[in-house]
Amino acid sequence: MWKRKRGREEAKKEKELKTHTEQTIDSLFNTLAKSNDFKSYSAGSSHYIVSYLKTMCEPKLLNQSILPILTKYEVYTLAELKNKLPVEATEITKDPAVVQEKMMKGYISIQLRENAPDVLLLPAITVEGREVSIPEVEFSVVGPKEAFVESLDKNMNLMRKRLTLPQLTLKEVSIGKITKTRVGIVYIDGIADPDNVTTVLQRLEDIEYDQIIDSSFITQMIADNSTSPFPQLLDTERPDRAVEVIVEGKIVIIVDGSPHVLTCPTTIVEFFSSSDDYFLPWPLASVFRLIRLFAVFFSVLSTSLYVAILTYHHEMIPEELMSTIVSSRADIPFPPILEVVILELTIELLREAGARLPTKIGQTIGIVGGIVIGTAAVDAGLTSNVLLIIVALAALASFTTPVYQIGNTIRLIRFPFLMGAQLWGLIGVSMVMVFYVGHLIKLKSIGRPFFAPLYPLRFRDLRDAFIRLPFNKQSERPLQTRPVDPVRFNVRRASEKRDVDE
Amino acid sequence: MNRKWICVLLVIFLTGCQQIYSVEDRAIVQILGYDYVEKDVLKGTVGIPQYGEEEVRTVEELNLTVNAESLKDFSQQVEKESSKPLSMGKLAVTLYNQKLAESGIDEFLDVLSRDPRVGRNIYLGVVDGEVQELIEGKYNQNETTAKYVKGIMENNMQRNFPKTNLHHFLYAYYAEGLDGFLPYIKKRNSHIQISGVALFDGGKMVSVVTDEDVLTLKLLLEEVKEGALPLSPEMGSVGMEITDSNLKYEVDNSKDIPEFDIKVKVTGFINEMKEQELESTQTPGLVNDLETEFKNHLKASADKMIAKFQEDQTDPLGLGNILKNRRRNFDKEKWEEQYPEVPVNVDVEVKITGTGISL
Amino acid sequence: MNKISGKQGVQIPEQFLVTPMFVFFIIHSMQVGVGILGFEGYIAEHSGFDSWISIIMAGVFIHLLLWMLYNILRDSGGDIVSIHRDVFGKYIGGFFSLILSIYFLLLALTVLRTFLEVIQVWIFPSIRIEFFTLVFLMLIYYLVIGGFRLVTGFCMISVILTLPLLLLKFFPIDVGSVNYLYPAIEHSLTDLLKSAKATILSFLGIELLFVFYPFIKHPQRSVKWAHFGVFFTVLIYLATALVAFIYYSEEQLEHVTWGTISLWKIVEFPFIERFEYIGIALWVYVIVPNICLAMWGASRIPKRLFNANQKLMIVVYCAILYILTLFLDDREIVEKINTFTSQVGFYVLLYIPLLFVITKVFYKVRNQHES
Repeated sequence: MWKRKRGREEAKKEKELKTHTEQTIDSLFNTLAKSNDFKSYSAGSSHYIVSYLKTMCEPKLLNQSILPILTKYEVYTLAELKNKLPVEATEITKDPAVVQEKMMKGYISIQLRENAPDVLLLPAITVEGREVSIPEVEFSVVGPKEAFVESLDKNMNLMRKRLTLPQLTLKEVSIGKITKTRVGIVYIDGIADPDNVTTVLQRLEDIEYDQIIDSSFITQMIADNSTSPFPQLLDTERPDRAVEVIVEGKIVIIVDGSPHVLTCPTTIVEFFSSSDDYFLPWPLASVFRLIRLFAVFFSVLSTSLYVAILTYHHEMIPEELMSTIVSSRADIPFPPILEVVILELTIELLREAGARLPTKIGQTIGIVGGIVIGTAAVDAGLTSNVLLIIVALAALASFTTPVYQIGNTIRLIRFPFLMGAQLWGLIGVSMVMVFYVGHLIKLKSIGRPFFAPLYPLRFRDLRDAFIRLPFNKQSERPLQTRPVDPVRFNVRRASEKRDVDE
Repeated sequence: MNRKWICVLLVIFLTGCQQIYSVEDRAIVQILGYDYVEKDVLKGTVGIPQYGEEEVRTVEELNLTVNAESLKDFSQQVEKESSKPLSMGKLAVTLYNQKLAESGIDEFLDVLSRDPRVGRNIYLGVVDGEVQELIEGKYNQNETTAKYVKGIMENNMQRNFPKTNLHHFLYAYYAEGLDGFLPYIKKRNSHIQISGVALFDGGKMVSVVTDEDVLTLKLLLEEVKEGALPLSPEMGSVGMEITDSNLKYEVDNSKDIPEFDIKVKVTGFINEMKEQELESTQTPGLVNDLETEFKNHLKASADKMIAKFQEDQTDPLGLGNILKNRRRNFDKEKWEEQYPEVPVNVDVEVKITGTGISL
Repeated sequence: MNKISGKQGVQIPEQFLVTPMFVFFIIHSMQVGVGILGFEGYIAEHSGFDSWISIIMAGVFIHLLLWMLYNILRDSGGDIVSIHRDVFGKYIGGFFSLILSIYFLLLALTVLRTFLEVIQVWIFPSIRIEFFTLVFLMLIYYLVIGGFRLVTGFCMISVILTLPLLLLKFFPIDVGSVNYLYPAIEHSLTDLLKSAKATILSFLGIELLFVFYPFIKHPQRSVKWAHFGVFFTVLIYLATALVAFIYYSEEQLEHVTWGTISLWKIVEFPFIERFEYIGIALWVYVIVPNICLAMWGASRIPKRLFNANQKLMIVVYCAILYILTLFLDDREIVEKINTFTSQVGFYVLLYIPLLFVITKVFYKVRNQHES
C-alpha cells in the first residue's frame, strides 16, 4: 500500500521543494511575525536583531547568558560573536530552511542588522512534557515501573541507561510533510540483522503523509498488510521490554510525541507474552501463558460455539446440561444468533463507553452496565442467563491479553466466527478458522513471517512461545530476527553441573 | 475489494433464508417404545421432556401414542400430534414389548443403525407387559421416565448386569456365531425393575435368563470389577462382594466337534454372613469351605445356563465367533448344527481375600 | 521460452523454498484425506480382519514407489514437466503432463465431493450445496494463491491440529472386545492382495512429489522425511483399522459406511457428547490442505507447460470443480467417482515404476552420448 502511494505523491513533493527554495529568511520572519509569540527586537550596543519564538525558548538562557554578552561587547561579525557567547552548539547559516527548522524548535536567531543574510542560531530549547511515570497500559506488579513519555530524547535516555553499549545505535529521520516529526530507529549494531534495519529505514523514508501524531500512525503505514486486523508491529510503553527485544536483535522505532515505541519484526506469540512472564519463575510463567492462550481461544470461539451447538447440533449437549439450557432459553423470543449479537454489542457498547471516560466514571459505567443491564435483560427475557455468563466470561478473557492492540483484534474477529456458526454450525466455525490461519501464515512483519515459531516451525523459538523455559535453556537469540550474533551466552559454563557435596 | 463485500453481504442475506430450529424449538425424544397390537400393526409411544420455567426447573414428560402400520408411518403419525418438529438426536432408551421382540426387531434395528442422528450409547430393553403403560407411568417428581430407565440400566450394568447397549447389540446382531441380549424389565407398581436378561437369536427374542443367573452370565462375558454374589447354603446366608474376575476361553480345535473350556477366576471378600453354624470365621477351613461352596454354585448355574442356551439355539457367549476366529474355513451352517452338542466345560475358581473388618 | 534445458526452468527463488522437514507434513496430509473416515469397510470386504496385513503390504509398496520417485527426480533434477519433455519430447511429454494435471484436479474433486457427502449425510441433510461449495472454493482459492509455502504451512497446522483426534481411539478400545480378535490368517494371498489394492488407494498422493520437488531446499535430504511421512500414514491407517476391528464385528463392518465417524459417536465428556460433529468440523483441516495441494499441483503444471498465469489457472480449475460438484449430487455418483479416481490413481501409481525404468535408460544413454 505504501508503495502505491509513493508513486502518486512524487510530483507533489517536487512542487513543495520549489516553494522551499523561493523562501528567504526575510519572508520566514514575515510569516512568523503574524504569530503573537514571535519576538524580534534590536538589542545590545551594536543593535543586533534578536528573534525567537517566545513559547519555545528558555528565557533564563537569554537573560543570563546571551543578552549580557550582547550589551557588553561590540562585535562586527557573527563569527566573533559566536566565540564570545558561552553557549554550545551554535551555528551560523544562510540557509532559510535550516533557520526555519531550528527556530521552530526553539533556537534564538541573531542577525547583525535587519535583512542580513547570515544568521547565528543559539539553542535555547525548552520543551514542556510529562515526567516519567508508571506504565498504565502494561502495568506489572513486579518489575520496573517506568514508562515511556512523549519525548524522543527522554525515551532514548530511558533505554540507553539500561543498555550501556556503544553499539546501541539511533538513526533519525523526520517524517510528515507538515509536522516534520522526528522518528528514530534503535538497534544494536552487530546483533540486529542489517537487512531488517534497511527495510525499516526504507519504509520509514517512503512514508508520505502530512502529519505523524503517534506511533500507531507508523504501525499502519509501514505494515506489510495494512488491511489485516492483526497488528504487525508490537507497541510497548515499557522501556525494559523495549530493551529486552533490542537485545534479542529486534529493531525499535521511537516516534517523538508518542509514549509508545514499536518493535519489529514481531510474531503472533509475542502479543500474548507479558513482561510479567519473565519476572516469575518459569513454571508459573508457562502455566499463566497457557491460561492466557486458552482465554484468547475461549474469548474468540465461545459465543460462536454457543450459536452453532444450539442452532444445529443440539445432540452434542449432554442430558444434564440440556435442562439448564433449554429452560433458560424457553422464553427468549430471538434465535440464538440474534441473542448473541445483541449481547455482544451491548458489551462492545460498554467498552466503548468506558474506554474514554475518566477512571471513576468509567468504573461506574462498567458496574451499571454489567449488573443492571445484564440482569434486566435476563429478567425481561431478552437473553438467557447461560449466554450472559458466556459473554461476560468471553469479555473478561479478552482482557487477559497483555498487549492492548491484539485485544482490539480479538474483539473484532469474533464476529466472522459468529456468522460462520450461524451459517453452517461447527463446519462454518472451522472454515472461518481456516481463513484466519491462512491469513496469519500469509502475514509478514517487516518481511519476516508473522506466524513464526509455528510456521516456519522453529523449535528454538518455541522455547519462548507458548511456554517459557528457564533462562539457562534459552542460550540463543530467536531465529525470527535472524541475528548476526545468535549466541546469548556460553551454555556450557552456564549449565555446569556440580556433583553431590562439592 | 468491492466483490468481497458483495460476497459477505450475500452470506448475511442467505443466512436469513434458512428455516432453523434451535434447541428449544424441537421436541427432543428421549424414550421410545413399541407395543405389538396385531400383525403389521404396532403401537408406539414417545416421551418428550417438557422443561419448565427457570426458577422451578421441573421436568414433565409429554407422551404421545399412536398406532401405525410401519415405522415410517409411525414417525409421520407422531409428527401430526406434536407442535414442534421431532428430533431423535438425544434418544436414550428404546423399549420393545415382549411379544414384539419375539416376532423380531430387525426393522427397528435397521432404522436405529442407519440414522446418523441417533447415538450409539443408547439403551435397548425388552418389557414384560405393555410398553405404553411403562412409559406413561409417573415415577418421580423430578425425573422423566427416560432418565429413570436409563439410570436403572446404567447403574445395574456397573454391577451385576452384563453390559449391553445399541452398539453391543448391533455387534452381536451382525456377527456370525454371536447373539445379542437385552435387559428384561417390567413395571411393578410405581417402580421399574430389571428382572432378567432377554436372549435373542438374531433379531428374535427366544428366552429369558432369570435374575439369579444374571451375575453368572456377566462373569462368563466380561471381567467383573464390582458385583454382589449372594448364596444361601445350608449353613446360612452369605454374601460375597466381587472385586475382580478373570475370564479365559480356550478351544480344542483338533477334533471335528470343537470343545470349549471356559476358565473363570473370581476374587472377592465376604461382606455378609448370617447365623452360620461355625462360630469363628477365623477358622481357615471355613474360608475354604465357602470358596468351594461358591465355586459349586457358580459352576452349576453356568452349566445349567449353557445347556439352556444350546437348547434354545442362542449363543450370547459368542462361542461360534471364537471358533471362527481360530479356525480356517469356518462353516456357519455346520456350526449351527453342531452347537447343541458341543461340549462346554466351565471351570470356576473362587478366591476369598478377606472377611471384612469385623469377625 | 528458454525451455531447452529443463533445469533452468525450475529454478525456484530461495524465499519460496521449504525446508526438507516439511516434506513429512506435505506427504502425510496429501495421503490422509476423506478416505480414512470410511476405508475400514472397503478393505475388510475381501479379507476381513486379516486386512491389517494388506495395509502393511500396501505401505511397503508405497515406500518402494517413493524410493523410485526420488530416484527419477534425482536423476533429472527437475520436475515432472521437464522429465516428460526430456523423455517424450515437447508434445507427447506435454500431453502426459497435462493428464497428470487433470488427475490432480480429479483428486481434488473426489475429496471435495466426498466431504460434501459426509456433511450431507451426517450434519446437514438439506444444506445448500451450491452456496456452501462456492464459499469453500473461495477459501481454497484464497489459500492456494498464497503459494506453495502457505499451503505447506497449512499442511503442518492440519497435522498438528488433528493429531489429538487419535487419542479418541481410546474410547472404542475401551468398549470393544479383544476376545474375538485372534491373529489367525485365514484368507488367501489373492484376497490379501485385493485388499492391499483397495488400501493403496487410500495412500494416493505421493505422486504430487513430481511437481513440488523443485520447491524443496536440498531435495535429497528430504528423502528420509518423505519416507517418514509415508510410514506415519501407514501407522495411522493401521491403528485406525485395528481399532475399527476391535469395535465392530467382522460382518458389521460391511454395514458401516463411515467407520471412523461412527466411532466418534461414543465419545462422551461431561460437557460435550457425540463427538462426530466436532470430528467432522475438525476434518475440514484435513480436507483443506488436501484440496489445496491438489489444486496447487494441478495449476502448477500448466504454468510450467505454457507459462500460463497460475492465478488464472486456479480460478479456472476452481470454476470447473464448482460446476462438476453441482452436477454430481447423488450418493451413487459419488461412489462412482471414488471408484473411478481409485482406478485412475492406481494406474498413475503403476506409471511410476514404468517411468523409473524409462528414465534410468534414457539418462544412461544421454550421459554416454555426452561423455
